Amino acid sequence: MDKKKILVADDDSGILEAITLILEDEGYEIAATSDGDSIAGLCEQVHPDLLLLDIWLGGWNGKDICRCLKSMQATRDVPIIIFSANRDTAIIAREAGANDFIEKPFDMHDLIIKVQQYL
Amino acid sequence: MVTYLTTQEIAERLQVHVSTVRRWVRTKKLKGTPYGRSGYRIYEKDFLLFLCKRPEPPAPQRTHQEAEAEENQWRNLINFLPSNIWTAAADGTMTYVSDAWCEYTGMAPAEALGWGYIQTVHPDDQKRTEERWLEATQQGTGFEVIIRWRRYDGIYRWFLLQARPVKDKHGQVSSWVGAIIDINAQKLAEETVRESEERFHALADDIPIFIWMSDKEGNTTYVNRSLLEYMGMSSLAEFSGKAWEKLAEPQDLQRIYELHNHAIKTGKTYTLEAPFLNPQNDEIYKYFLLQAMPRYLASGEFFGFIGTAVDINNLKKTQEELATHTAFLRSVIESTPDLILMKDRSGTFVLANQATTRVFGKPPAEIIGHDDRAFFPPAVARTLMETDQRVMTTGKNEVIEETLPTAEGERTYLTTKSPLRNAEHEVIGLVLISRDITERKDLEQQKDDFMGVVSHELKTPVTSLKAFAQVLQNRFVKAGDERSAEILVKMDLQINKLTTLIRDLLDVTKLEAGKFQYKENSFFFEDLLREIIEETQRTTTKHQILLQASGTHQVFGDRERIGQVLINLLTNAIKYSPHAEHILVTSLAETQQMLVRVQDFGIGIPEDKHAHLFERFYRVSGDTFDTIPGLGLGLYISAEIIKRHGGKIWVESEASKGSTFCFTLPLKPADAENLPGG
Repeated sequence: MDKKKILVADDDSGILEAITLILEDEGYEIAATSDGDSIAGLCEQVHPDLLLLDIWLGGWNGKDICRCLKSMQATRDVPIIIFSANRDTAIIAREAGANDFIEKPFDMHDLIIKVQQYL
Repeated sequence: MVTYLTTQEIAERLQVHVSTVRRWVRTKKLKGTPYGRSGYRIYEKDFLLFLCKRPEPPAPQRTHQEAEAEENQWRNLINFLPSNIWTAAADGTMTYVSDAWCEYTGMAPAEALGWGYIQTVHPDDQKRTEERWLEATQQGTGFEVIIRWRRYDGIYRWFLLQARPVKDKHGQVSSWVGAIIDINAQKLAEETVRESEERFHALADDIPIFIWMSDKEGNTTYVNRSLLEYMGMSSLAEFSGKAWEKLAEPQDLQRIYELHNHAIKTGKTYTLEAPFLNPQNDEIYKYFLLQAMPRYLASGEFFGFIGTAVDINNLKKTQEELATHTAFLRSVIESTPDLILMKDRSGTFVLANQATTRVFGKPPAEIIGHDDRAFFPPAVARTLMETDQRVMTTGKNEVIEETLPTAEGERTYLTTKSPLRNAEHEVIGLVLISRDITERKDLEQQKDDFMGVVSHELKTPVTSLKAFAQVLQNRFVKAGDERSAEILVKMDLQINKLTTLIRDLLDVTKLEAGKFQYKENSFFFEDLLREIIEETQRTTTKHQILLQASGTHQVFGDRERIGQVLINLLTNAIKYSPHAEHILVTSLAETQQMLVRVQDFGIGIPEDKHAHLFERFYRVSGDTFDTIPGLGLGLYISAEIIKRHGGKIWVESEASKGSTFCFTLPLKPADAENLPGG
């Protein structure tokens, strides 16, 4: 069985690397980017099963990305989990069409459970 | 009084025959109109006139009987008159008193005659009467003396005793005739006038106002005692026209003369404030208010002035002090950079200091007399004026933060609106003091933004740190290196503490900015409690957290925030009871609320510190406390969260015995109803 593919986007390379390690250890295939502009292209290329996006990506607003992805044919039905250091942005994420929200810093186990819910 | 008398009645009174009376009528000595068959009706007045000029000459040769009859006639006439008539001998012994005399005194003629009558004269008047009588006897003249005369009932009234001497052919006083005339009413009226005058004089003398009167030539005719004493004089005689020159300065005197002359022409009272020199101490001036009224006779002729001078020195001083005080206040009001405004009840500005120009773009003079509508857009003005009305209605101060469009752009003000009250404590307007806090607000915003950014920036490395630690721990576990994995668990706990500190900082920033958000839902309180206890239990191996709770109860609120409160209280309990083994948590559903108690058996908190525990950045000081780290934010945030949920938070504690932190949370209404007894 093919590995489930997760696209992770965060402008902090440390976080990006840590999440990649956690999820690869759990047996997922990870595509990671810290460039908001490349998300749409990557999605068409990789066809991820789940998107993990930081609410604020350098130059990009996670909310806008969310809206954009939900309107694209390739990513319309792909679940999106937003993470943010500000719990108050959970409402914004939900409004933008995200399926779930994780507050930073998060517990590894909580992240794995959330991911498993959607895959 | 006029009455009719018949001829018969007259004959009886005069003891003459009826035919004599008829003869008098026929000879027109007595005026009468026929009455009945043989009578005449005569006015009593005419009858008396007739008697007075009775023409009948005495018969040259009168018989003794005739003389007696005539005397009887006179006596009858006298007795007929309602006057107190008397006659006396030359030495003053009474020889005759009229019926009216006897009737008034209640004394029989026999008693009165001789010296008896003297008893009817008031003892105090007897000597005077006798002296006057003696004097008159020697001079051979008549006399009058006012006496108090005793009535039959013992009451003395005022009478005028009149006496005329009857002289013999040698010119010696042979006897006296006289009358006693009632002057009581007149005397009483005189006394009333005299008393009233005395009262006026006493009043005018004692009153601390100078009173004076002058005649048409300008001579002073009266000055009261106060004025004399002020001048150091003892009588009016000393007080001449020159006295005024001693009192007033030449220019004031000139002014007084001018006003005087003007008043005489116009007939109007004049008033002047002027300093008077103290004639007894040349250096001291006192301010007086002068008033003078010209007086006129009924004919319209001017006959002088009546004037007063009131010492207004204290008033003047008070006025000057008030003016100084007002100027002082004015300079305070003007020198402050704060906006100070006063409005009347309708909202019209009645005072505005210079600082207000920055907002209104106009000088104070152009602000006063207008209301907010003249300076702000309608919606803004309406809001401002509504607040004004509320403050004036409730009579309570309000502190309002308001952002207003001003001449210098949009500015934020912290305004205190206070009701303005008069001496009767009635609200007559409003005082507004506004401080421009735009810069402060900007700084606060910058601080909030900065704190937000700092917290966010701190969270990013902590997030990856935590994630790396956990990945590593996971890998050690998989590799069977349990010891290394345990070290990473400890590292994770420290990262969690760091996370809590960062979150607390961020929360305080949000609370201060009023941006602390709550996500409220219904949840089962006991479930949350068990979850948090389980989670916290994992962080300590030393303490055992014991829970006493029964049933499940729904609470409406932010589950995560209430969880944050529980975590805070539990971690505090662990932190401050380093040598204890248990933490006791009890949860009790009361009628309308949940009561939660978190009890530790640690170092406790002295009672005087209890009140400050829930303040921002407060940390209990002392040797033991100083070794335990913390920012002093946890309890502040917890208290804010509990208060926001309509609950209460408090502490019960005793030093070295431990602390119990308690809080309540309102139950969801439906759940409250289902409680036994709820």
